[in-house]
Amino acid sequence: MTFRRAALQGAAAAVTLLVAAFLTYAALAALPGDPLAAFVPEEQRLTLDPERRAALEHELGLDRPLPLRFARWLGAAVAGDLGTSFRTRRPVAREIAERLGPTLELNATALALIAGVGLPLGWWAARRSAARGARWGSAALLALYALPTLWVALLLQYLLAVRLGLLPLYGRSDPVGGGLGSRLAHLALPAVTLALHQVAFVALFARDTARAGFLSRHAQRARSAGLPEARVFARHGVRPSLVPLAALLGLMVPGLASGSVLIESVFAWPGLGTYFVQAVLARDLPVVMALSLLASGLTVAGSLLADALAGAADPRVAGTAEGRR
Amino acid sequence: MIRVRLGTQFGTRPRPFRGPQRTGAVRKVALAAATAAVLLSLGGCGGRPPAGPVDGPALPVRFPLPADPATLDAVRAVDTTSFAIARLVGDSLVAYDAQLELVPRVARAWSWSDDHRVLTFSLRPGVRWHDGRAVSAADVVHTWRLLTAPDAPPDKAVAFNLVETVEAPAPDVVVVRYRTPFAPALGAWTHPLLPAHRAEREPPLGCGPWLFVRWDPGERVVLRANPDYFGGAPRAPELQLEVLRDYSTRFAALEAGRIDAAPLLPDTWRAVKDDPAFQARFEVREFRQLYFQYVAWRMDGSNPWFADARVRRAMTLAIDRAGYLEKVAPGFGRPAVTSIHPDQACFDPALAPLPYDPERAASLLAEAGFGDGDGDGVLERGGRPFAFRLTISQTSRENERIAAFIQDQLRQVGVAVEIEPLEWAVFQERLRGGEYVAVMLGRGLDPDPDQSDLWHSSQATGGVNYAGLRDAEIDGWLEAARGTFDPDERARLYRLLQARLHELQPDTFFFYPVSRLAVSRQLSGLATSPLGVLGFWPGPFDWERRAATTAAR
Repeated sequence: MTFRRAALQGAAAAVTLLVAAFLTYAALAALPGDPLAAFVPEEQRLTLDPERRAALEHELGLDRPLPLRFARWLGAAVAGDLGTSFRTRRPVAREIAERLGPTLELNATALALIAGVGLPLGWWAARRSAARGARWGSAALLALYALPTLWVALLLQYLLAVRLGLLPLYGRSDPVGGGLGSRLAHLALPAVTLALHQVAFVALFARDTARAGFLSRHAQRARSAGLPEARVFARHGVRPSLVPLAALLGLMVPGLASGSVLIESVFAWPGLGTYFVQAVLARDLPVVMALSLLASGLTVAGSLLADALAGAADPRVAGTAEGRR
Repeated sequence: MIRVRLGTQFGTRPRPFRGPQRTGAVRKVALAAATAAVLLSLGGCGGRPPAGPVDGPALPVRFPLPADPATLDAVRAVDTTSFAIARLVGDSLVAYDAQLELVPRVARAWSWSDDHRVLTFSLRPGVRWHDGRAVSAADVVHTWRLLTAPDAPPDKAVAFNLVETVEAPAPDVVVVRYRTPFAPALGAWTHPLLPAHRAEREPPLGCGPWLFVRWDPGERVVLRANPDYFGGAPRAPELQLEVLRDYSTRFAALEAGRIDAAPLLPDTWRAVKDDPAFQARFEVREFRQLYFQYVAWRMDGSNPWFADARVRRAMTLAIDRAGYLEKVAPGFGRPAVTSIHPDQACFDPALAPLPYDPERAASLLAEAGFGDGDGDGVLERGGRPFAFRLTISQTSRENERIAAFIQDQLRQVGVAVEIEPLEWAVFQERLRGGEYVAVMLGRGLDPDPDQSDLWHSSQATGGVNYAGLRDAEIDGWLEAARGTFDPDERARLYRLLQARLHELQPDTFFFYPVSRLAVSRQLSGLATSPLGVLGFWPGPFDWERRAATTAAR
């Protein structure tokens, strides 16, 4: 039963990926714009003469019909070959690998901050929802949620790096040396800036879901049965809020491999965001396809993970025979 | 006639003495002198730090790159950043210096045959690749083959279009045969050489002053001084090229002392130019780049307006270019005259940019048959309102600002402009398909004044002659100037070209930009040129950074 279910889920995931890949490919091909524009420098020294254009199109495989091109790309991708970037002529897998590490590093730290700070904060606010402090806290969270990221980024950078010199100004490492401490210090500003918005969102979300459970009749009954307040909160506040939170965090997984152009640009972080935007602008098909594949793969993985997490938090959700009570 | 150019052993000019580097005795004397200078300046003018760097060990120089290099392969390098790195690691037969003169590098000398069809380079002995192998004429032939291969970037191949053969009759002699005499020929040989003995091109192996150490994609490129460079080791032990895409981060990094130089934009320049604290730490260099910004009016008759020279002239007269620079970017450019740049030798100083004269513009338009019959503020001719689209690319915010300015200025003479901003790939497609009426562009220039690609009638369709100018006399001058090796005759022909362009106004030549670079006072030897900061010889070779001692603060 479980195997059958897993197989079904796997097949559905594969079909989803295939459809997503084809749609991306077709959309890119339909987009106006010259995929060979990357070969014409912006200083405008020349345009491509027809002969060279034909040679380049042939070399990049642009002279073949779309379905054939897609089939070729798919075959190679399945075999693990993501092709060569039109723009730089370097292997796409290598270029992505160079930037994936820093991207994961930054996003995983941000995600850890979001979960590690946002959830407890929200729960705390839910438990003390009546207290005046919590109300101010909620107002502060809303304000935090409303702050524009660029503004926060520049402010934090100016205060902590330029003025106080507490943290590195930019980059992922120093040109020389740099142990774990230096790495973490470099990570601090971009990760906090990236997380800030989501911390506020997750905290508000956790607060509302937990409070609904905490104020429910079940909770009242447990309380009147003499259960300590902390346990009432854990059982009726925290636990039911975990299911939607798992779904929410699952949705954040694809974000792990996506870069933020803004953060990367302000903190000079070598991530995938700028790389992706450049690829789209240059109509660099192999790069865009590889990154979309990565993103859709992570989306599918994230939703599977969310299901699993929700199942663990509340077995009724898992929907398997074994899981049912 | 045969012309021969011989350089001194290490370039054309002797390197100026810039403080102690080689011997201990000199070092001590200079140290004493520097200390004395610091003390004097402290006593004399109230603690002003010394202008020059204070003695100390030579430190790595940190310089910002506005973008990550796309590639380290010198053949594929077409973007500015990639090519700059290829130049630092590699070396070329000849190179442009800060005055745009060609100087010998790997080639010790060169000569032309009497009929100017054969160019012979003799190579400098003792030039080595970074792996120790000697550079030979075979490497030059190999480089030429790579740059003209079918899969080479097209603008590199085009530079060798007129080359018939490149041969290596001896290890230190390269013979290049041209189909026809070609005066700009040497410019193509400023491309970095590539080693014939190694097939893979990454990581780069060059023969230049800087050894490639590493590239952390998206972060930095690190280069080390090559102690075995034929011209001696560069003064800085290391070059850390930091990828800083964001302008404000670049400036913050400069202020925080993380990098040693950064460009200044008009807003920042306004804020710091009278700030003594800033001036004490940084020196601001001002330089023009070989570049001009322009709007091409499509004059080939595909639209009802711009085939008429009076209309094009009216456009230029109606746009207050000097006023734009004054308001938006004071001191960051000057109105352009034609496509020939003031830093090019054949620039004609007698020609002045057309003035801002909206009345004259209006009367020219009236002469051309335009009038506002229906009183809606927009001129018309034959019942058709004078309204067109100005196509621009979204590669810079400045483009959009200039376009908006043009729109506003032309509205005042009764011309309706709709701005059409396009991303680069779409913009390129439009240009290629000829789907535009007026288009705004910037163009970087080579030091050689040949502008056949810009103005020859053969380039009016499918080329970069975007205005579609077809003028038999201009064609003749361009062709003659390409074939003549007499500098005076070339200058005469290009003066004729400039006068004709000025008269015909195929483009509104907007401005020649001026750049500003803030340079840390710890850093010496940084020169600027119309080719920028990295794009000429010696460039970073002369850079030297020494820490300020406590006395300097």
